[in-house]
Amino acid sequence: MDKGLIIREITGADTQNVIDLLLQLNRFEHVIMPNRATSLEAAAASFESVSSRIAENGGAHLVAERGSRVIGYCACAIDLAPPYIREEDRRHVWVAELVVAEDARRQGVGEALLNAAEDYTRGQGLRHMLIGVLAGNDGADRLYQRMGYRHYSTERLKTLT
Amino acid sequence: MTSPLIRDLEDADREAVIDLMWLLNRFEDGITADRATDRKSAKSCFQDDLEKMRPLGGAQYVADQAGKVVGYVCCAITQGGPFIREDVRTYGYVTTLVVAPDARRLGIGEALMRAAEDFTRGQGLRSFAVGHLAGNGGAARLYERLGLRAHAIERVKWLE
Repeated sequence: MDKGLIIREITGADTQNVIDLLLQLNRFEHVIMPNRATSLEAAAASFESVSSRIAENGGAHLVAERGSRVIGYCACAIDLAPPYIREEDRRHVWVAELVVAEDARRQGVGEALLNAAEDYTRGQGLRHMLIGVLAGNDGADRLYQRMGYRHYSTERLKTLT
Repeated sequence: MTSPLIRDLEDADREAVIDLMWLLNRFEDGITADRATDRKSAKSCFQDDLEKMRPLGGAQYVADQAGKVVGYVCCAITQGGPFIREDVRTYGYVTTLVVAPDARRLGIGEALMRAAEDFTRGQGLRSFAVGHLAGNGGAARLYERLGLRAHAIERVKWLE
């Protein structure tokens, strides 16, 4: 990992930077899946939504910083899987958001954030992690595969006419 | 064999549907090895479908073959996150689809899915969605045939 990169918990001063990253994420995903809300308001609402979820059920907001600039964000939300999962494994960490600034991609920032998310999960006494990725987001998907995330389920959608 | 009747779930179907969900959990455990395979958990799954329908509504249908419940579907009206465009944020989501093992390959799953899709359309919604396990090829083929296209995958890791 590069020496200048710091992974730390979020502070109040990071909020606007994180919302900007989520805006970049929505715009990036919109190209793959054209149902994204691409306004700044929608990005702020996403941050608010994941924040209230974490406040309610536990979790962590991690940011990646280099040269005092926030270049990545990862939201880890503690979640309870549905009752068809064995009782002792229902509590897990769901990586609700993972985004790296456009000009900082392909430099190991996502991997460093996900490693920190795994450390956080272990620290909570949990071992079950889930992450979702859009079909067609090949860069993200390759990273998750390389880090040992197995294909678990597929989500399908039909637009009705 | 006459084709089964697709109808609304009734109170009297509850135990039969729980038995189907119990079968589903055991079937899926063969793929994922992480399922709760006791009947009590199947009962919780039925309860979970009701919970998922509570905020915005939904529909539950059964396939009835000469008085025997051989299939079940639950479609919950679901709200996506704020990152989804407002006009398509609310959609019909199939939380459970199960067909009894001895009644598979008769088009019952397809008939139940069509009922769920019609329900979604009838609610004025434009998106219909479902999830299935990687490794459940039968489900994947059925959904593909019905026009449901893969748009996201979920990945799992069990930490050492």
